Amino acid sequence: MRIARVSAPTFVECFRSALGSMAAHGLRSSLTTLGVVIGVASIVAVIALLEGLQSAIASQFAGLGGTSLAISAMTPLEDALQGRRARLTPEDLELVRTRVDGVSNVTPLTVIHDEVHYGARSAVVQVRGTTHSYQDVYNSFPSRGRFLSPADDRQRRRVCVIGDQTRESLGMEEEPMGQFIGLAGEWCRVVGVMERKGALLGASPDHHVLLPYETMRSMAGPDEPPDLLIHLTVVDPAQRLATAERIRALLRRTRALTPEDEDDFRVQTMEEVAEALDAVAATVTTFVAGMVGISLLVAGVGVMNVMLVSVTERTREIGIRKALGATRHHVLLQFLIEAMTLSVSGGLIGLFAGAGIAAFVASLIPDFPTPVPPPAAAAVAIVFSALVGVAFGVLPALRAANLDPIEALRHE
Amino acid sequence: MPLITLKGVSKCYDVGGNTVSALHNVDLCVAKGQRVAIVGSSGSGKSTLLNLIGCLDTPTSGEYVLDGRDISVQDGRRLARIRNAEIGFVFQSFHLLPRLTALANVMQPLVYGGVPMRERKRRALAALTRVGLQDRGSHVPSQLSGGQRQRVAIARACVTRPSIVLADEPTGNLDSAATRQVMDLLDTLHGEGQTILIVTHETDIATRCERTVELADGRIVRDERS
Ligand SMILES: Nc1ncnc2c1ncn2[C@@H]1O[C@H](COP(=O)(O)OP(=O)(O)O)[C@@H](O)[C@H]1O
Ligand SMILES: [Mg+2]
Repeated sequence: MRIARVSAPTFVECFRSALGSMAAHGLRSSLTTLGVVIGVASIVAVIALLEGLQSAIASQFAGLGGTSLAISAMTPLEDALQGRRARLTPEDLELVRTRVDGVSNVTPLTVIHDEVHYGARSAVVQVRGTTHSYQDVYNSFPSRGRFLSPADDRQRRRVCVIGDQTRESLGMEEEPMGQFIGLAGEWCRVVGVMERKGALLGASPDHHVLLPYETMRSMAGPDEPPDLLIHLTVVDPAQRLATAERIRALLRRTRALTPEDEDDFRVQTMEEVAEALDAVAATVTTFVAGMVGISLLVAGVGVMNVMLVSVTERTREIGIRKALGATRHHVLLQFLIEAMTLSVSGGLIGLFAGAGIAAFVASLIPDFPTPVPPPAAAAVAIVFSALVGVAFGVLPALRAANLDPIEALRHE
Repeated sequence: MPLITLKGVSKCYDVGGNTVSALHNVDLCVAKGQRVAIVGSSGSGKSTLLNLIGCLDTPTSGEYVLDGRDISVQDGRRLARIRNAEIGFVFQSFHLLPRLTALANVMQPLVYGGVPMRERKRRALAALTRVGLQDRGSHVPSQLSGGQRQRVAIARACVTRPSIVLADEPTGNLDSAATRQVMDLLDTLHGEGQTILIVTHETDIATRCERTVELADGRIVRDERS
C-alpha cells in the first residue's frame, strides 16, 4: 500500500491556508492564542529568572570556594513532630573553636528580627550577631567606616554595622558613623555601613544590622538563645571532608547521641549549601512547571474548541476539497497545521512576552543579572506550543478528515 | 469499451429509519467523448447519479466500472485519487473556496495531485486563459460575478485534464448571457473530445447534447440520441 503523497507544496499550501483562516477570524484567533501566549510566556519568564537566580547564587558563593563548612542545627523529623527543636549553642561554638584543628575563621551567626529606632523613625530589620571573620565568609565588606573588630566582640561593645538600606529606612545621613540607634532597649553606636549587595530571592541583604556576637548574646537576656549557625574555613582544602567528619563525631559525643540517634545538626560543605539552594530552585521549577502545564492544558482546550467550531463552519469547504481530490490525509494535515500555526504563533508571542516579563521583574530587583532566555527556553516554547497544537488539534482534524464528501457538500 | 458502465446500480438513503431509494436498478453506458444531458424532475435522482459517477459516493448495490476499474471495491483514498485525476466537477452554486483567489482555486486540484508549484501555476493560468479570465487570477470569488465564478469553476474542473467533466445544473444560478458563455465553454471542451455529463432543466441545453437520459423516481425512463 502506498502512503498518500503529502508533498512539500501541500505543506506550504496548508500553512498558507492556516494563516489565511487565522487572518479571517482575527479576534477569535488572537483570543485563542492568548492561552498559549500566557502559558509559554510564564515558562520562558520562569526559566530566564531561574537562570539569573542560579548565576546570582553562584556569584554569592564565589570566593567561598570549596573550603568552607557550615554547621547548623537540624531537627530530626521525629523530634519535630513532638515539638522539639534542635539548636546549636554557644558551647558548641566554643567546642569547635577550641577542639577542632586545621580550621580558621570560625564565625558564628545568630539571626533575629527586631525593631530598630533612630530619632523618630523605626524599622524592622534582620539583626545578625557575628564576628570579624563574617566579612571573609560572606564576601561582604563595609563601604564606609569599619567592620566589627575582635575587640568589640571580646568586650561586648554596644556597636553595630548597618546595611545601606537600613540606613536609608532610618533616614540617617550618608556617613552615619558615631550616631546611635536604639535596639532592644539599648543604644548601639554605628561604626560602619556595609556595601550594597542587592536583593536575592526577595530577602534584602542590605536591610540588616550587624552586632558583635557576644554583644548580642548579652543583650538577649535569659530567654532561650536564638539559633546559631557556624561557618568555618578548612585550612587545607584536601582535609575538608575529614574535618567535617571530625566535627560531626565531636558534636555527637558532646550531645551523647547513641548510635541509633540521628544527627540533630548538619555539617555541610558550601557545595552542599549551594546544592540545597539549587534544590530549592528545582522545587520552584517543578511547581511552576505544573502550573504552566495546567495553563497549557487550558490553552489547548481553547485551541481545540476553536478548531471544532472552525471545522463545523467550514464543512462545505471540506466537502469541496474532497470533491477536488483531497484525501483524508490532506484534510487531516490541513487542520493539524492550522491548529499548530495557531498555537505556535501564540508560543512565539509568548516567547517574547516572557523575555519581557523576566527583564521587567529583574529590573525591579536591584543587582539581579539581566535575564536572557536561554536558547533552550526558546526551543521549549516552540516545542510545547507545537505539541499543544498537535495534541488538541487531532480531534477536530480527525472530525474534518472523516466527513463524508456528499454530506459535507450538502451542508448549509 | 465504454468509459462509464453502470450495471443494476441502486442507491438507498436511510432517513430516520425509512429507506429512501434515490436510484433504482440503473443501467447506463457512456462512451468516451460523449456529451450526455441528464434530465428529470426535481428529486428524480439526477444529482445522486452524478455523484456516484463522480466517485463522491458509492452505490448501495450494483456495479460501476470507470475506465476498466471497478469503483465499488476502491477505498476512500483511491476514490479521492480518482476524483482528483479523472473527474472534474462543476456545481450549480460554483463551490469555489471563498478565501482563495481565482488562480489558487484553479490550482487546488493540482495541489492534491502533487503537481510542483511552478507547473501548477502554469497550468492554472492556461486554464484561466481558456475561460477568458486570465486577468482575474488575483480576485477572490466574492469579487467575481456569478458567470465569472462558474467559468473559474470550469477552469478548475478541467485543469487536471480529467476523463469526465460532471456538471450539476451548471447554469441554474446564471442569467442568460452567462448561461450562453458557460454552454459555449462546454461546447469547446466537447469539441476537444472531453466526455461531459450535464444535469439540466433547460431544454435548449439538452438539445445541444447528442444524448439525453431522463430520470423519474430513480429510474431511467428515456435514453435517446439525436
Ligand atoms: N443525503 C441524502 N439523504 C437522504 N435522502 C437523500 C439524500 N440525497 C438525496 N436524497 C433523496 O434522494 C432523492 C434524489 O435526490 P437528488 O439526486 O438530489 O435529486 P435531483 O438532483 O434529481 O433533484 C430525493 O428524494 C432526495 O430526497
Ligand atoms: Mg440535484
